[in-house]
Amino acid sequence: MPIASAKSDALFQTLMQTAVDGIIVIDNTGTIQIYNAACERLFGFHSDEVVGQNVKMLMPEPYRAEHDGYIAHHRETGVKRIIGIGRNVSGQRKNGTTFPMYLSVGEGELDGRTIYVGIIHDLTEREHASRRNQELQDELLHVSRLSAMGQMSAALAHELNQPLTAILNYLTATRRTLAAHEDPQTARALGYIDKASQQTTRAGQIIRQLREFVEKRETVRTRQNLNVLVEETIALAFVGAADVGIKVHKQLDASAPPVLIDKIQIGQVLLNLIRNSMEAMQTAPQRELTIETSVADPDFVEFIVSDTGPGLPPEILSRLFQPFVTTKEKGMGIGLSICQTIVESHGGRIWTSGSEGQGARFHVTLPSSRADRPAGD
Amino acid sequence: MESAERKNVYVVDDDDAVRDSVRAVLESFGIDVRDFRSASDFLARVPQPAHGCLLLDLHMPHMGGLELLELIRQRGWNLPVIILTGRGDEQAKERALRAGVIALLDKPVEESTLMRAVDRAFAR
Repeated sequence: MPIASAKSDALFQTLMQTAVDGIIVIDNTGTIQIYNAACERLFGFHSDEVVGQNVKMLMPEPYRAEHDGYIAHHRETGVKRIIGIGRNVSGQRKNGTTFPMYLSVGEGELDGRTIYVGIIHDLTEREHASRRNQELQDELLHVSRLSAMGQMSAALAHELNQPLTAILNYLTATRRTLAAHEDPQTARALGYIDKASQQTTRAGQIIRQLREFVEKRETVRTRQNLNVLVEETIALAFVGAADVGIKVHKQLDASAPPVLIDKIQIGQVLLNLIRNSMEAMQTAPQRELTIETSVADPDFVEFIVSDTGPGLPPEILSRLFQPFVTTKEKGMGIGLSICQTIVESHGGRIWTSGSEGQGARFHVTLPSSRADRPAGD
Repeated sequence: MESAERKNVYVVDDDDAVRDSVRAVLESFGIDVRDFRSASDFLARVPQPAHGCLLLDLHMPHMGGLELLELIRQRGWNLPVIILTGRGDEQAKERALRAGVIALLDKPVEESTLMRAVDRAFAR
């Protein structure tokens, strides 16, 4: 039986129209009596489609199948499960999609009959925010794990230096012990020992470079020859990747003036770009990495890292330098944003040209530092 | 450098292989070596150092190289110190340099670098 007398009350109508949350009134069989404007927005059903129907039509399974049972249980036992309190549940829209909602239910009496008043608060926004929060926390955790790895690398470097030191020392002692002997066998052995010593020193240099790379340090800017840095960084990038079959082309402008840079930081940028290119080309039919340096502008030196990989998809281009944007399966996407921060703090620019299908091409410009200009420029 | 007295180097490093191999190098140059696995071991067994120098690692458990260095200064010992370190700890290195060392060498150290430092230490 419809509650006609309530509906004619103007105040009541205003209340139903303006309430921000959904208001539903059902009788003790679950039949919808009142369904306000907010509900129409939330569920997508017009009032005409739901009034007189069982409220379970607004619920997804399993609530839908169980709701009649809930009402019956309360009717028979008086036990309150949701009555007088509230709970997080799901609602189902006309289009079949569900959304999270907070439902609070009150019990009342009207014209001698029991009615239930449900207030529905949409939790969709809150859920999105909390999911994004969780995603950011996961990223943060990941980043901090990587930085922990950096710290572990420092400890590892120290540990590796100990046996390397011992090896180099023993080689020296061996060489000196054998030096007195002049037979050809000993001469050959001494030659091998020299080579072994050189390799040990080389191992030490690699460890030192890796260690410098991961250390947290204050920025120190010095005048550097960018071509030299390119050569060193290429060597570092190919540590452990020599057999990958990538052809490297270097087009370095010998007339490029020095740049005033933090060598470690700009080295980091260059290494990041080179490594990205190497990864992008892993399954490419042609694998060529090209690094150019040039002086297009008298005040800047530019370096360009390009590859013959698949190139960058257009949808990612506009967001490329934002944190947490990545095309790699296992990437976390902070590399390029850090590169941009580093380059821009040097007064330079980083951008990309090249198109999908033609390989990626990254440009970096850095202010040049001529000897006749003060270092602060 | 001719001298009737054999030169003497004290080596303090908690790593057994580093200690033993440094001894091997120095002895191949005809230098006497006494080695110790910790700073406190050195202090306990060397009440007064003979002419020579101290080869010391910066990072050791319990008492580190810097502490030992400062203690030596406090005791007024005229013992030149060379520091060998495998870590990149810039702050510790700076403190060591300020405390006055002959040289601060990064591991792994080449023989010529080490011996130049030892020669400088003995020249004092």
